[in-house]
Amino acid sequence: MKLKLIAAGTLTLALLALAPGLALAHGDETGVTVQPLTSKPDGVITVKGELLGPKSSVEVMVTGNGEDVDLGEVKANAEGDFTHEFRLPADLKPGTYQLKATGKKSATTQITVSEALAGGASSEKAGSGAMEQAPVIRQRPLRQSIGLIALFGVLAAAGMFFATMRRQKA
Amino acid sequence: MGLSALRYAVPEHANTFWYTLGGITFMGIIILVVTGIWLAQYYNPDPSGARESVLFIQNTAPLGDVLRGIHIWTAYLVVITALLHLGRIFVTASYKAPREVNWLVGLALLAALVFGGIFTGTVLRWDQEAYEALAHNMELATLLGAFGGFFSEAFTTSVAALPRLYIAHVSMVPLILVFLLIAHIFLIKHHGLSPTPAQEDAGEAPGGRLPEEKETGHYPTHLRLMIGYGLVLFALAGTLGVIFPQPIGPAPNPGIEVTKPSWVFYWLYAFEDWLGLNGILYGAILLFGILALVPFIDRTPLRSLRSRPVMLVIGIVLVVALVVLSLITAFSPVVSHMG
Repeated sequence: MKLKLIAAGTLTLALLALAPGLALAHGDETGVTVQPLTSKPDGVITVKGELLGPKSSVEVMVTGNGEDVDLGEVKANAEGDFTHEFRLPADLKPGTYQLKATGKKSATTQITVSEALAGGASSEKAGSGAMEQAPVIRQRPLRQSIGLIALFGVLAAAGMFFATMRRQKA
Repeated sequence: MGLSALRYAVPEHANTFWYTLGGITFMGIIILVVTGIWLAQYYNPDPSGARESVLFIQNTAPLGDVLRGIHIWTAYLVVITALLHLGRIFVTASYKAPREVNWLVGLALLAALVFGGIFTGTVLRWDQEAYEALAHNMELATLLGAFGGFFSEAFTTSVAALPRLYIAHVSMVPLILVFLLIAHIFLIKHHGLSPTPAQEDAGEAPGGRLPEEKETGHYPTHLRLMIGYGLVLFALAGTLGVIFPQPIGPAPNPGIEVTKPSWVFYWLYAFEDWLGLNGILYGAILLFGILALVPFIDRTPLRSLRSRPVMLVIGIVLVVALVVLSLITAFSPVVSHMG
């Protein structure tokens, strides 16, 4: 009986956890994804669309931050799917944008445009496997480090003393 | 002040190190919350400025490097104390009736700490490793189907994924931890602290609980141990933070996959190497699935580990597997998994 109760409780919790996702799953079946999630001005992105209407002409747009940019048009296949590469405008401001693919049906996703990503590199460099150097982490002067370690040592000793004091009985 | 409510009796063995590991983990979570609140004053969750703000914390903010070090090292140490706590419960069979549900709550706490806290925390750094972790998150959300909807980028187009993970890190994960901790502590109080295997096997604890006259310990002593060892944990995290400053990697390059995850996830990375991205899901389900089944597999009436050879084997296999898989990842080169 107890086992059944536990099993029922676990199942109920699992269903409750799944509920938001299941609810979402009954929404729109169309979809659009973009890779990479974060790009930079003049970067190349790969947009994948699904179920946007068989053989439809899909217009891909980027909107947000006061800008409304038409990236181009692509033909969907018989299922309404497509995969296509687009180049972002070189003068696109950093920020988060909505990327909308509109065929017979439409779907949206988001893309972040970041200046920090660029680091002066071209989009070809970003895609080629080149990576900039890790930044310099400030090292504390040796005296400060020793002082901090000594302070933590005192705290640890105090904690050990406090924890191992004679134990009371009820 | 009502503090007298804390002056209740507990079994004598409650006031030993091994039975205080849960309390030490709790103190670690408090350290994480306090240092996290401080770090949040300087962190910018916007993708265009996130990494710069982490660099600001590390290099410019007052005591930023020290508190960031304490935050990250405490997170790692909390995982270790939680695993030791789990190990103690496994060895002493404290998951047996009537404590099966509390074992499951404890597992949920561990999962929330590792997959909720540490994973989202890694992404907040917004360097190459963070970006690759987020990309894995997005791919896994697709694999999870309906359940992945909430975690996927497609869930909303109005906010970028990084700020949403930041919100998860600073509000959702702590809220889940609080709810689970309340349930965990309530069930411990409700069932009483489990007797030792020797006491239970000698028939001294009918119904899995020591009679009141045998509860000769004192709860304030347990609190004192928690605070004392909590202070040691804080000091250890601080020392490690000073000796081994937490790195910040290069700015993310979306075109490459060149990093390994945090060591906490090394065992999962090995599954990913073998089975592709799905391996992460399979590995996590396998480990937590086996652990969740433990109270229902182990139906022997005795609690001494020597009387439970099957559980002894399962325990050894799990520990060896986790260590070996982690070592394989530690010494293997980085492999690209993303499509």
